[in-house]
Amino acid sequence: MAAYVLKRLLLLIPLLFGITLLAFFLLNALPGDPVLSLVGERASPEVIENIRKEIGVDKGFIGQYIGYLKLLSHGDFGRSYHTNRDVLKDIVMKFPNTMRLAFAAMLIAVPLGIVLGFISAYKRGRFIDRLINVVSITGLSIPIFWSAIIIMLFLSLKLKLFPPSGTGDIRFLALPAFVLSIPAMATLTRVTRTTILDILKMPYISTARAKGLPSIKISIVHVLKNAIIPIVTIIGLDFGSYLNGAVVTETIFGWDGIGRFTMDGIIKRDYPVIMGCIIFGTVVFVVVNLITDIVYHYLDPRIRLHGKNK
Amino acid sequence: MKHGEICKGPETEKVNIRNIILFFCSALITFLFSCSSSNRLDGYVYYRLNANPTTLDPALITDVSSASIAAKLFNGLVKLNENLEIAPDIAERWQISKDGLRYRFHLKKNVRFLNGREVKSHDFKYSFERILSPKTKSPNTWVFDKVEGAKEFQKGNAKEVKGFRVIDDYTFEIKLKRPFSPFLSMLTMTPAYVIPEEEAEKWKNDFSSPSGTGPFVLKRWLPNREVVLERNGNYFDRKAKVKGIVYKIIPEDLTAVTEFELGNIDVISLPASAYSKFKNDKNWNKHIVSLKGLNTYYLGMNSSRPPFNNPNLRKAVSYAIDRRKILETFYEGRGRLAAGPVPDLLRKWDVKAGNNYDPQRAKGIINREGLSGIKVNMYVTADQDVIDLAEIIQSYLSEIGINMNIKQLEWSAYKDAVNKGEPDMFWLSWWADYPDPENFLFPLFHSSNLGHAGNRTRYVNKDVDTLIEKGQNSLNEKERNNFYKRAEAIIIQDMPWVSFWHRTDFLIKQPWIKGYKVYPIYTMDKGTEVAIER
Amino acid sequence: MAKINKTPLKLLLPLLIIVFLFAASLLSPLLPIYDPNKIDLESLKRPPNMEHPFGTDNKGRDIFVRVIYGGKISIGVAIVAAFISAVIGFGAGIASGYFGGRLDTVLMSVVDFILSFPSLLLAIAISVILPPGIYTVMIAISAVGWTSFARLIRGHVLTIRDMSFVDAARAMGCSDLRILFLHIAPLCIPLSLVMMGIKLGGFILTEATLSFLGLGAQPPTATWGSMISANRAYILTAPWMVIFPGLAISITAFCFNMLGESLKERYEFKDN
Repeated sequence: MAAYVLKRLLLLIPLLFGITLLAFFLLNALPGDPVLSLVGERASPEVIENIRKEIGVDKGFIGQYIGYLKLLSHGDFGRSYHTNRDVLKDIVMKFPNTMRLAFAAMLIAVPLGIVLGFISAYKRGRFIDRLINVVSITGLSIPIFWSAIIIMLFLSLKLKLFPPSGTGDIRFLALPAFVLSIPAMATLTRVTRTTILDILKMPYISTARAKGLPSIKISIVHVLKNAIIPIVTIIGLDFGSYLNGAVVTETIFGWDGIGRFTMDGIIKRDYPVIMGCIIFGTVVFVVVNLITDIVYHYLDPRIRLHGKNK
Repeated sequence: MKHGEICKGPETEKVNIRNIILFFCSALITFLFSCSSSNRLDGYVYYRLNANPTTLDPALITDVSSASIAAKLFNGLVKLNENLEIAPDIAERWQISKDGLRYRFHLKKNVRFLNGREVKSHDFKYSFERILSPKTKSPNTWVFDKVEGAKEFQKGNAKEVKGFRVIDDYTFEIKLKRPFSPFLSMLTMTPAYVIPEEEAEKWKNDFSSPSGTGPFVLKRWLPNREVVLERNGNYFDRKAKVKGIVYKIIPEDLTAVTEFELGNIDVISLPASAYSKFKNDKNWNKHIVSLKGLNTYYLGMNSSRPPFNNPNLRKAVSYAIDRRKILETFYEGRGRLAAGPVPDLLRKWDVKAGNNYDPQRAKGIINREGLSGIKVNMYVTADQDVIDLAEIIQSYLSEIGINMNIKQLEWSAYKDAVNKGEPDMFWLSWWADYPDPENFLFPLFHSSNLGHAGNRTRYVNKDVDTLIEKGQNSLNEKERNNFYKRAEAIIIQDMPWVSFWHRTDFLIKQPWIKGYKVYPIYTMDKGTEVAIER
Repeated sequence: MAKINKTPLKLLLPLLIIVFLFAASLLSPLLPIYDPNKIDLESLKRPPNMEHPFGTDNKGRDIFVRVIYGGKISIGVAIVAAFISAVIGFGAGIASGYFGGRLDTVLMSVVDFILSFPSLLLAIAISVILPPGIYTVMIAISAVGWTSFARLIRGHVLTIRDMSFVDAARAMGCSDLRILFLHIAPLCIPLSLVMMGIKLGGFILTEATLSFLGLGAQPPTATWGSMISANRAYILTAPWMVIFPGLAISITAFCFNMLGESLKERYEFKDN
C-alpha cells in the first residue's frame, strides 16, 4: 500500500513539470503586462525597468521558468507582485476555507443525492420518481450564478436567515455550500438512480430475494455496496473541483477561498500567485484521485490498486 | 461470493469503522462550526470595498482602496480641506520662496508615531528619500522627481537627496530644480505620508502592521475579507468619533446592496442598477449623499494613425453622439456634462458649453471626406457599464455611416492594448490625484506621456506641450490658469477625446450614520467626522 | 410495455422544444420583429407590455427579440462544442482503449493533465490568444470537453475489445484499423450520442459562465448567457431583464439533459 501511494505521488513530479511549463507558456503568450498592471498610471520608465528586472520578466520565457524552478527547489513559492505577501502562506490560509466550503457542500449533496437516487430507483415510474427526475434535471440546468443570486435574495434578504456574504462559521457557510451542492446533488441523484436500476436487474439480487432475505437488508448490503463505486467516483470528481475553488460562488458570497485568489491572480497577471495556485491545484487533484482509488480498493477488494501486481 | 465475506466480517471491525466514522463526523462538525467572529462590533462603522487593498505601504500604493485606508493611518505635511485648498497637517505653516524653488515647512510639536516617538523633520527626509530609493521600487517616484538631486540619488550617484533639507527638528525644507506649481498639491498625496524609519526597516516586505500618526490604527487585516481599524486615542488632531472602522471586502455589487439593506454595511456607493430603486423610495431618498467627483470620462481616439489621425473624423464622432441625452436617460443624470477634459470643479475659466450634438453636420463631414461606411473598432473591458456605453456609441455612429466594431477584452489585456495604441477607440476615465487642472492636462495630453503614462490617444501638439509646461512653471495663479485655459481650448478644438461627463457618485447611508461626508479625492477622508447615533 | 410508449414522448418533446427554439433563432432575421440591437433611449427598462412582451433592457432594446436571437449562439455554441468534443474524444477514446499500452498511457495522461489544469486559465488563455468571439468560445469549451468523452469511450472499448467477435475478426485476418472502424467504432456511437445529449446541457451553462467572466460573444451580439450576466444587477429593480433569458437557458439545458437521459434509457433497453 505504502509503495503504491509513494509511486502515485512520485508520478506527480513529471506532471508538475509539465503543468508549470504549460502554464508559463500560456502566461507568456497572454497579452497584459504584469509590471504595468502593478505600477499604476504614472510610474517612470526607469522604475518600470527596475521592477521588470527584479521579478525577472525581462529574462524571457525559458529564463523565467528556470528562475521559478530554482525558487521552488528552495520550497519558496515566491511573493505576490501586488501584495508582496508570501504566496504559500496565502494559499495555506485560504485552503481551509475552500475545504470547509467543499466539505459542507458535500455534506449536503452526498446524503441527499444518494437517498433521492435510491427512492427514485425503487419507486421507478411512480409520481415520486418523476418528481425527483424533474427536480434533479432542473438542478443540472440552472447556471450557478443564477441560483446563487436567487438563493441569496430569498434566504438572506427576504427571510433574513443567513448573512449574504463573508467568510466564517456555519451561518456564512450555509448559502454558498447550498448553492455549490445543487449540481453535485443533482448529478449524484442521477448516477445513483441509474446504477441501482442496473443492479436491481442483476441475478444475485433475485437470488437474495429468493433466499428470503428481508428487502431492507438486500438494499443495504447488496445494492448499496455495489452501487458505491460510481457514486464515489462522482464524489471524488466534484470534491476535487470544489477544492480547487468555485470562483463564481466565492465571488458572489464574498467567500475567501482559493478560487477567487486564483482568479484575482489571473486578472492581475500576478505570476507567482497563478503558478502557486496551479501547482497546489494539481497536487489536490492527484491526491483526491489517489484517495478515490484507495477507497475503491477498500470498498471492493476485487479492485486492485493498479501497478501493484504488475 | 466475495460480497458475503465482507458482510460477515468480524463484529469488532464493524465497531472500529463506526468509531472512525463517528470521529470523522465530529471532527468535521467542529471544523465547520469553528472560527466564529461575525457579530457587528459595537461603535464601529462598516464600509464596503470592492477589491482587496493591495498594500498599506504609502510608497507602493497605487489603488484607491488602499489609498483611502492609508489616509486614515498616516499624515503628510499638508492636506486638503473641504474647499480643496491646501491646509496644515503635520506642518503648522509653510513659506514658498519668491523664485518658487524653496518650500519651508514648520512642523507641529508633539505629533507622535504609534510607537510613541515624536515626528521630526528627519522623518520626512527619510520617508521621501525612501520613495525615491531604487531599493523601494516605488511606482510613485514621479511625485518627487522635480526635487533637486532626485535624479542623482535615484541613479545611486548621491547618498542623499540634496533638495530635502533638515533645518532643525521642526523645520523641513524642500528645494526644487525648477518652479513647479502643482508641487504643494502633490504633497497631499499618499506617497508623501511620513513613516518611522525604525519600523519601516523592520517591516521590509510586510507592511501588515504599519505604524503611522493617523486618527486610526490598523487592528486586523484579513486579505480578501476585511480590514479593521481602531481609533487612535493619541491622535494630534480632531479625534475620531467612532471606535473604529471595518471595511468589508465584497466583490459583487448585488451582494453589497443586499448587505446594506440588511443593515450590515453602513455606507455603500450605489451601483447604477440600484440607484433608481433607492432614489424613488421615500424612506431612503433622504439618506442618499451625492459626491461630485473630480474625474472625466472620455471616449479616446488614437490620433497617431489612420483613421483617427484625421481631425475631421474625430469631430464627426463628437457631433454624432448626443451626450446630454445619454447622460440624462441611460446614465440617469449621475454626472455633469463635460465641456472639456478639465473637471468643472477645477476649471477657473470660461469654456463653451459641452454638448454639440449635430448629426447633420457629422453626416456632412463624413460625406465630404468620403468616409461613409468606414470601419473602426472600439475596445472595452468586461465592465458592464462600459459595454453598455460602447453599444450606445455604436448605435449613434452607425447613424452617420461609421461601422464600429466592439472588441471586449479582459482587463489586463485591455490595458495593455490601449497602452500600446492598438484600438482605434477606447473608453477610459481619469480621476484626480491632486486638485489641480495640471493633473488633467500634463499626463493626458503632453507628448512626453504617450501610452501607459496617460496620453493614450497619442496626441501630439507642440503648442499644447509648451502651454502646459508654462503653466507648471508659473507661480502666478491667474497667469497659470490662462495658460491652462489656452491649452484646453486647443485640445477641445483638436478633439483627441470626446469628453463625456464628470461622474457624480451617489452613496447611501443608514439612518443611524451621522456626520458622514463624501470627498472628491480619496485622500481627504480622515474618517474623523462620521458618527453612529442609534 | 407502458414504458415503451412513454419513451418516445420523453424523447420527442425536448427535441421538439429545442428544434423550435433553434429554428426560431435561425429564422429570426426573417421575422417581422424589432432589430435586436436597436437602442432606444426613450424607452429604457420598460416592464413587459403589449409592445415589448418581455420588456426592454437598460438601453431600450427589446428583450423578447434578444432572447429569440440569443438562441442561435447559445444553442449553436453548445451543439458545435459538443460535436467537436465528441469527435476528438471518440477518436482518442477508441484508440486509447483498443491499442492500450504506451498510447493509452500518453492519451490518458493528457486527459489527467487537462482535468487538473485550471479550466478557467485555459479558457482565458484561449479566448485571449485567439480573437474573442463565439468560435473561440467553442474551442475553449471543447478543449476541456473532449476529455470526458475520451474517458467514457475508452472504458467502453476496454469491455468490448476482448469480446469473442473481435477475436473472431482478428482470427480471420482483419487489420487493426478494419476492426476498429467496422466492429468497435459502431458499437461506441450510441454511447457517444447519449453523452452528447448530457453534455449539451452542461455546455450551454458553460457559455453562460464564460459570459459572466466577460469571455463570451462580443457585444452587442445577444446570447442568453451574456444577457443574464450583463443584467444580473437589475434582478431587484428590473427583474424581467434577467428572468426571461434565464428561463430560456434553463429550459434549453433541461431539454438537452432530458434528451440525454431518454436516449440513455432507450439505449439501455436495446442493450438488454
